Amino acid sequence: MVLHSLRAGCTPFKGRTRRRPATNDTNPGEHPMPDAASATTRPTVALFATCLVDLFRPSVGFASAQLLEQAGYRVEVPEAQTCCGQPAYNSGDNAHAAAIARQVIEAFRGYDYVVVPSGSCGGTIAAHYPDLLRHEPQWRQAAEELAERTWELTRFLVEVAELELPGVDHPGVTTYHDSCSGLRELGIRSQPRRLLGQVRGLELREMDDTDVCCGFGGTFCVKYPEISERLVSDKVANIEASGADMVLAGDLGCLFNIAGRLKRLDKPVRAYHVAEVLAGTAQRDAAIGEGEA
Amino acid sequence: MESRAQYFKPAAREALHNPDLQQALANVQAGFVGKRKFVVDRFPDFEGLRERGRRIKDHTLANLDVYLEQFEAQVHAAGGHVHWAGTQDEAQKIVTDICRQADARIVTKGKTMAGEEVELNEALEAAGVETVETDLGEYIIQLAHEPPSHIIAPAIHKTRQQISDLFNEHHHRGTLKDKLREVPELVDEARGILRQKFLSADVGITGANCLVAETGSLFLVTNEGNGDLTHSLPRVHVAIAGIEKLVPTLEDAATQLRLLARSATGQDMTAYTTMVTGPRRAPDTDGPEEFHIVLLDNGRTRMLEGRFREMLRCIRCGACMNHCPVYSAIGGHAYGWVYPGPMGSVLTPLIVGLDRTRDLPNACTLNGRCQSVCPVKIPLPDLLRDLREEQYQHNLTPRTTRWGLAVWAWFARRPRLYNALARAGIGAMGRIGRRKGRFRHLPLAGGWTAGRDFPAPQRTTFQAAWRQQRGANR
Amino acid sequence: MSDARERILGRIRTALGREGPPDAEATRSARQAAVGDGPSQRPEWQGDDLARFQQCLEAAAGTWVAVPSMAEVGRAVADYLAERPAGTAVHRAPDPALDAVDWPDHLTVETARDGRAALVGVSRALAGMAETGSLALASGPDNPATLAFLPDYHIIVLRTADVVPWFEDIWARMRQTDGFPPRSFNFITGPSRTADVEQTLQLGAHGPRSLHVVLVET
Ligand code: SF4
Repeated sequence: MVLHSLRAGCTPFKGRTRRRPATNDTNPGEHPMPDAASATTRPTVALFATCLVDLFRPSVGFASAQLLEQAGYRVEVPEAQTCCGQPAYNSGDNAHAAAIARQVIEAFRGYDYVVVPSGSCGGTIAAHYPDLLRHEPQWRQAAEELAERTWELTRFLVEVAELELPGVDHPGVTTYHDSCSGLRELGIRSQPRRLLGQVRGLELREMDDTDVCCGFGGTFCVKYPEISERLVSDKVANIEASGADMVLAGDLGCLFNIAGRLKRLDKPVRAYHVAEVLAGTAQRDAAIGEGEA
Repeated sequence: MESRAQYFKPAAREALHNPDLQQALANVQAGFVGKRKFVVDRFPDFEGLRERGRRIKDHTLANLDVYLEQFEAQVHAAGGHVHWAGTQDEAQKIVTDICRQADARIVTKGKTMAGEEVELNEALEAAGVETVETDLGEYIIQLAHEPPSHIIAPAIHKTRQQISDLFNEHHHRGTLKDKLREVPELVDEARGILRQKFLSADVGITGANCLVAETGSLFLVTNEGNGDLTHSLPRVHVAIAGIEKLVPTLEDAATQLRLLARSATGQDMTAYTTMVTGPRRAPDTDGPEEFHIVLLDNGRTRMLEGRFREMLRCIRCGACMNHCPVYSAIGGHAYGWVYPGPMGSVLTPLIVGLDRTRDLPNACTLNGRCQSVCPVKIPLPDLLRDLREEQYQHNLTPRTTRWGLAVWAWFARRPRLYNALARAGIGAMGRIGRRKGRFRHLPLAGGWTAGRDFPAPQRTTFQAAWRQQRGANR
Repeated sequence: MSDARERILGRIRTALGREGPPDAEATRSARQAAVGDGPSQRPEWQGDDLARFQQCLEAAAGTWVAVPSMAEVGRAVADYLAERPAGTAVHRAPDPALDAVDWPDHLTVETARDGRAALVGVSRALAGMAETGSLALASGPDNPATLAFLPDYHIIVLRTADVVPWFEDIWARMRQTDGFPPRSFNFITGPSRTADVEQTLQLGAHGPRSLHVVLVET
C-alpha cells in the first residue's frame, strides 16, 4: 500500500474515515438554513414517523404532522418507510442495516426535508448512514445528501420553520429528559425548551442529571435488564425529585422505558412525547402507559 | 491479571446487589463529575484544547516509529536503558531480570496500569521479591488481594469500614475489631508503614503518564508524592509504559498535562507533576544509579493497523468511566480485567481477544457521554459498535440475536407486508391492553417486564391511521 | 532484547505503510502542520502573574509569605516554624542562592545532601508557574530531589522575578539552561494529598504535610 505519509505528515487509516456531524460531541452539525419562505410557498416535508411511533404511538406522528402543517409545510408520509435500521446497526449486523438504509434513502428521495420525531433515528440517518455505506461510493453520496435534508422535529421547528406556537395551553409542572442521541449526535437541547417556553401555563423544572442516559439503549434494555432497570430507576428518582407532574422527551424509546418504570412503581407522573404537548393533543390523549378513561 | 470478562453478567448482577459497593460508587459521580465540570467550565477554550490533544496524539501515532527511535536515543544520551517488550512474558522477564541483577529484596511500586496489564506483581512475587504498592489506593487493594476497579482511583469500590477492617487485620493483627476509623488516621497509618518501605527499597517501579521524544523523559503525575519517593530513593528506577504514551515535544506534554489533571480528578494540576530523565547525574547527591524504561507493545501495534487506532490516543484519565452510567451502576470489577468502563470495553477485547469478552462491547447504551468528555476525543461508542460488527462477522453474536435480526430485517424490507402485519398485530395488542394502558407481562419480553410495565399501543398503526384519514397517496 | 525492538518497530512500520526509512526532519514539520504554530490553549487571567500564582497556590492548599530580600528568608522560616510543632532543625538545600539567607540563631541549620533526615526542608525553585500556582524545581547537587518529598514541612524559596505565566515559558527558559533536563524536574503544587479513602481529601499522604513558599521580592 503506497502511503505518502511523510509528505502528508499523517498516515491515513487503512480502515475507513468516518463522517460525523461537524462537531461530533455536544455541538450540532451545520445544516444549511433555508430562505425564509412564506407559509404559502413552503415546501413539502416527508415525515419519517419511526417504527416505534408507527407501532405504538400514532398520536406522536399526528402531532408532528400537525406542527409541521401549522408552520406552513405540506406533509407526506412515504409508504415505503418501516424502520431506520438501528437495531441491526447497533448489533453489528451492518449488512442488514445497510440494506434498510438504502431502502430509506430510496423512500425519501426528492423531498426538501425529512423530519423525524426522534433524535435517535434522526441521528442514525444523519450521523451514521454515510459511514455505514462507506464501501459503496454512490450510496454513500446519497446518504450524505439525505443526511443534509434530515432533521429532528424540534430542531426543524425552531431552526428552519421558526414556528411560533398558536396559543397552546398546558398547565402544570413538567420536566424534560434529554435523549442521548439527540443531545450528542444532533445537538438537541435548547430547541424543545424554547418551544415549551411558548406553551401557556407550563412550568419547566429541570431535573438533576437531565443529560444522563435513561437506560433504554435499544436492545440494551432487554440484553442487560438489571443494569437497565438501575439506570431507569435513577432517572425516575430524578424525575420525582424535580417535583414535576409530567415528563417529556423527544424519543419514544426513552419514554416507553421511563413510563414503564413509572407505572411499575405506581408513580403519578405522566409521560408524553414533546410533540404531543406542543400540538396540544396531550390534553386529549392518555399518557404513555395509561389506560383510556 | 487473568481476564474474567466472560463472567460479566453474573459479576454485574452481584455488583448491583452489593450494598457496600453501591455506597462506594455513589461517591464517584458526586466527586469526579462535578469537579471536572467546574475546572473545565472556567478554562477559556477547553474544546480547542481537546482538539489539539487529539491532533498531537494522531500525529504521534502516525509517526510512532520516528518518535520511538528519537525517544530511545535521548534516553541513551541521558545514561538510561531502553527495553522493548512485545508481550506480557517479555515484560515480566525484563523487569524480574533487572531486579535480580540489582539483588532486590524489596521493590516499591507507583501506580502503573501497564504493570497491571502484564501482571508485574505476580511475576515479582514469584521471583521472590517483596513488592509493595505505594499509591494508597493500590496499597489497599493489594492488601485485599483485589484488582483495581478504576484506573485513577483503584480502591474506589472500598468503603471506609472495609479499609478500616483491612488495616486492622494487616497492621494490628485484628486487635481493633470492627472499629470504624477516621480518614486522617487511616492515611497516617499507611504513610508510616510505607515510609519504611520507601527508605529500604532496592528497586522502584513506576508507570509513566507520558513519554517525551524530544528529551527522552517521562512524566509522572501524582497527588500523594509516592511516585517521586518510588523513583528517587532506591538504587534502580524501572518505568514501564505502553508505546502509545509518546508525545513529540515538551509543549505537547504541556497540552496533555493540561487535559489530564482536569479530566481525571478535576484539578488544574496535581500536587506533583514530575519529569524524569535518566539516572542520577555524576554530581547528584541523591536519585537512582540506574534508569530503565520498558516500552510495552502487548497488542498495541495491532491496533495501530486498523480502525481501532483511535483508541491509542487514550491518556488513561478515567473521565469516560466517571461519566458512564453503566460503570456507575456496577463498578469496575465486573468488566473483568484491568481496564473498566468505556475505554476498557474497547481495549480489553482488543488485547485479550474478542471471544472471551463478548459482553463488553454490548453492555453499553451508546449514550455517548464518555465521548463528550474524553480529552482526546476518542469516539468510544463508534468503536464499541465497530467491535459489535467484528463480533457479528466472527459469528460471536448469539444465534437468537442473529436470527431475530434477520427475520426483522426481512419484514422491514417489505413495507407492504410489514405494514399489514403491524396493523393486525398492533390492533390485537391494543384491544387487549387499551383499557389498562399497559402490560405487566408480555410473552418474550421478560427482560423488559421484569422491572417495567410495557405501555400498550394505541388502537392502530400510524401508517394505517394516516392513510385512512388522508387518503392512500400521502 | 533487541529482536523485540526490531519486531515492534517492524510491526509499526507495516501498520503505517512505511516504504523507506523515516525522515525525522519531515516528521517535525509534519507536527507543525498537524498541531499548528500557535501555543496550546491555556488558562488566562486578568491582573499580574504574581497575583495569579499566589491565588492558585492558595487554592492548592499552599501558603506563602513575601520578604524583601534573600537575607530575610531566615526570619520568615523561623516565624513559620514557630507556629507549628516542627522544631528548630532546618535542612537547607546546598543551592548557593540560599547562602545569602540570615538564619536566626535559635534555628539549627544543616546543609542537606538528601532529605532522609529532614523534618523541615528548605529548597529553591527555579521558577514559579502562574497558570497553576506551581513551583518548578530541578534536581541536582544544589537541590536534592528527596528534600522536596521526605520532610513533613517543605519550604520553597522563590524569587518573584522567576514567576512566569505558562508551561511554555518554563520550557523556553529551561532549554537555555545548562544541564537541562535534570534527572528529576518537579512541578509542585501544594502539599501531598490523597482522596483514596471514600474520595475524602486528606493532606500529607506520603510527601510533605504542608507547603510554604517564601517569595523574595526582586
Ligand atoms: S478513553 Fe478518553 S476519557 Fe477514557 S480514559 Fe482514555 S483518554 Fe480518558
